[in-house]
Amino acid sequence: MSCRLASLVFTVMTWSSVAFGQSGLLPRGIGLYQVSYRSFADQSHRYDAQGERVPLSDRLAKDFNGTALLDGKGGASLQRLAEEVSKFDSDPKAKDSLVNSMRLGRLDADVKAKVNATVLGLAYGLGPRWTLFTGVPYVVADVKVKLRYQGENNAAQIKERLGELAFEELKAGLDQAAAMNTSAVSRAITNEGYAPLEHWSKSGFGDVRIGAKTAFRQGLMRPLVYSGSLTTTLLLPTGATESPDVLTDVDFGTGYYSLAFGYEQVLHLPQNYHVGLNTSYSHNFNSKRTKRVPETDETIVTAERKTTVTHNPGDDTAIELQVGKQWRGIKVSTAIGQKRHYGDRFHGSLAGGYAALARHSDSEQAYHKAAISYDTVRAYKNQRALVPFIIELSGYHPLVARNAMDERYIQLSLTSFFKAQ
Amino acid sequence: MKSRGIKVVFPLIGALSVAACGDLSSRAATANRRNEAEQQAKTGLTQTLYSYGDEIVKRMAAELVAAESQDLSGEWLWSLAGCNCGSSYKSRLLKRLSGTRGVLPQALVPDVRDQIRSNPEVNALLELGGFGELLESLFANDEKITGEIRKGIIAKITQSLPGGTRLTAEAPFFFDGFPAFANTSPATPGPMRSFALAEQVKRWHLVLGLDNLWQGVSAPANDDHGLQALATMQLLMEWKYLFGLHKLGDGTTFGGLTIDVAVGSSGGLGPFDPREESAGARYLAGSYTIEFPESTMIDLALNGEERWTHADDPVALEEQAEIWYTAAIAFSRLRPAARGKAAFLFAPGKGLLPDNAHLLPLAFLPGMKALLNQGFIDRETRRIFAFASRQGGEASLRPLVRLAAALGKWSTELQNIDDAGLDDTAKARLNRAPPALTEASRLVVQTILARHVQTSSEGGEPAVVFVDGDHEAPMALAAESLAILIRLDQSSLPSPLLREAIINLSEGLSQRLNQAWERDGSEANRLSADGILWLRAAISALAGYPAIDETLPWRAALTTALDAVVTSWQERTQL
Repeated sequence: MSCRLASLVFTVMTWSSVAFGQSGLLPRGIGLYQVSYRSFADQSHRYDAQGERVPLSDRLAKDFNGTALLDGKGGASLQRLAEEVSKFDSDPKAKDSLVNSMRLGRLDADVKAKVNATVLGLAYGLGPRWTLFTGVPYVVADVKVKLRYQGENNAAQIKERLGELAFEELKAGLDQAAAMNTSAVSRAITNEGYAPLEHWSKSGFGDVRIGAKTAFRQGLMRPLVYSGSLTTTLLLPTGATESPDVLTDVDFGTGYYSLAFGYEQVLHLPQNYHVGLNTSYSHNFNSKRTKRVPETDETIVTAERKTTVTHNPGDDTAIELQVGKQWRGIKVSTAIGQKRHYGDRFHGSLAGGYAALARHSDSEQAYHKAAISYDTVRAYKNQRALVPFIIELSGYHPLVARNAMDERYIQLSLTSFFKAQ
Repeated sequence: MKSRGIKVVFPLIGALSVAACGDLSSRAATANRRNEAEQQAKTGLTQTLYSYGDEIVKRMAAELVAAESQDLSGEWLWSLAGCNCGSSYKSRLLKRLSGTRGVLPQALVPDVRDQIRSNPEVNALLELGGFGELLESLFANDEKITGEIRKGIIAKITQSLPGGTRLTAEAPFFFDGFPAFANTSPATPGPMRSFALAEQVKRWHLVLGLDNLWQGVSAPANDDHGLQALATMQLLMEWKYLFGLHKLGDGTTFGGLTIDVAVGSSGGLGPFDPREESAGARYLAGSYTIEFPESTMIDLALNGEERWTHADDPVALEEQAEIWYTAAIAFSRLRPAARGKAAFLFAPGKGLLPDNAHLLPLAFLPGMKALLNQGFIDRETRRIFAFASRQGGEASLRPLVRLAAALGKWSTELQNIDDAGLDDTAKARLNRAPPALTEASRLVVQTILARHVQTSSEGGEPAVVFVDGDHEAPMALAAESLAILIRLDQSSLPSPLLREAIINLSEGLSQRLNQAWERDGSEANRLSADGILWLRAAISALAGYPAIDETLPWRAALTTALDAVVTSWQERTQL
């Protein structure tokens, strides 16, 4: 689950270049500070690999039938139990086989996550052609989980049916399986060194970005003007990454260094309309992480399997088409975009299901964004306003997505300026 | 009015008619249902037996009679030993055996050697020195000594058996060790220098399997328990010799043909006394060949040093399972708690067998434990192999079934060993055995159910059958497997799952039988003599389940037919 919520924080880091005005650059000696508050909608669903909206709890939800247990969906211990039961079948896959008749109930969960982020940004005009910037997010996350265990559990009947054929170890395993309930599952989770599931919250800083931007403007056929800006951003892995001991943990940072290149181009049209196209590419560098490596793809992984693994993150790409209009300091814009994070890979010295760690990491999302802002910079320059500031209200929602969170948010940001020299 | 009355009557008649019809129709419905049930009971195997029962019985009885005059196969003997039937025929076999020379001539049998050595005439000869040869021919030649041996044995048996025995010194029997059915000519001068344990164990099982002596059952006509008593003595003598447990006062050990589990046959043969602290684990297996100088009985008894060699063949699970099972049968016969009607055999002073005879079969257990743990069973992968070396792949159905029988029997016998008269240390060690034996049994049965039970459509209709390799198991093996599974379910491994499998397998077997008898079908479905006996054992054992005839309606008809087969066979083979 933790990887799902990580992408929320990643989105927090997206930097809006609109704050820099049309040229996108700050004059030499002028600084900018920005405070943004982004409030995400309560997270209870996500987009799965097929693009379907599914509950966040689906990774916790387990149907403990014989076939699923044989496939390792219930963890190593229950897989071993199912394997032992299947050894009495000449054809475990047959409909009426003993293992296929095994039912140990169903675990469901209600998961709700609340994430808010405040981002403090600073920028400084280094020269006519260069602006430096940095941004530091502060994230608050709160996750509530309610487990529900229901359905038929026929472990006791299976034990009775086996009678004295069952090995002593198998009898003990079936006794334990017969006693499964929500408390037993919760206990099984905490016995493996995991923090209790029910409620978890965390706050802290995310990954710091530092970057530089350069831009140019070129007049085209009157009254068209073309502007372009090139941004280079370095992402520092200063944000906390998920703890391997917390099932519902949230990554506040990516855990890896990233170098991003963005090119933003805007065509300024008559009557203060503009059309813009933003593209970016990020190369993400390898890093070391501490993870619990599953034996196959079980959700609950024993504490002994906690180890340092090498994380090879996939790269990121993004493209956004924006249309807007400005009128007397008020600007409205709407944009659609698509962003993609290519799949990660993990590997390490401990044999296990590394593919499971990277499952769902290949994500993409098409979205719509809208914003309205009020800008007093020009008025301030014309001495018609006391303070130069920009206040912007924006909203974002995914259109279609795959392996991604349901990232609906509204954001309020306030930008102002200062003279450094 | 009249018409009104008629009108009134008509409805009444109508009502009565309806009532009568209703009553009639319900009676008809009951009768229909009963007929339907009867019809259903007469389908399949039941119908076949109903139609062709006499012919089937005749055919099966003829098969049993024919088996008597054919070369005695191991499977026939094994099935015969386990069936509670054919006592006349078995007595004839014991008679045949008693007159058969064995690999170990009686002069080298430790008890006989002792007897010869303590014979006064022999001692006189020794003192006379140089006149020895002449006196030997006059007083203590081979024929005379053989006669003395016979007399001694008969005296012992007569003293022990109530009513004595009709065995006489004139009837040719020998107290050789390890005779074989193959060599059936009485008093054939040797040499028969090799024996195979896989063959000997069939004889041992036959001897121990005959209830007569142990259950106080009358011997067959014109016979008595003497032959069985003789054969039992011989068996125990052989086991004692194999384990090298006969020691003289000067420390000389006779025999001792066991092999160290840790080393294998390259480590040579040696004695094994499990009562010794450092005994380790040793076993018996394969074929043994003896060499000794051709000489007189006296010379052999006094000076003969036999030399044994062992063929370095892989140790086979089937052979070992049969040995262990036979040892368990021996323990069950000889143990104090079971002596009951055979207590006279152990009477102090005049008993044929020593009071601690039941301890001898326990000597097989250390070797069994070691061979299972370090050889046949791989506990990591839960596989059971056909050979202790684990070469040659996993065990097929027959060795598994025989292993299951052995483990189940020992598990039952060792549940309570208070009567065995063991010291605390030995008792504590043996008390650890039943849980381990039960776990091993579980593995064997699990393996059988997982690998050797399948739904097959070879015969047209799907049926749950035993399979061996890629094909349905032959009928005899299927019947034996079923009998053993029933035995386990009814003793040490009661299990509803096993019972379900047994019911399904019984139905499958009945379908195969039906095919065999309806159409005189494939070779695989043909019932051999041993198959008939195993089938009888299995079908009889099914009677142990409550309400079984509702579940398997053909069982009663088949039981009747099989009992008729055995009765007919026994009547034809009376002495």
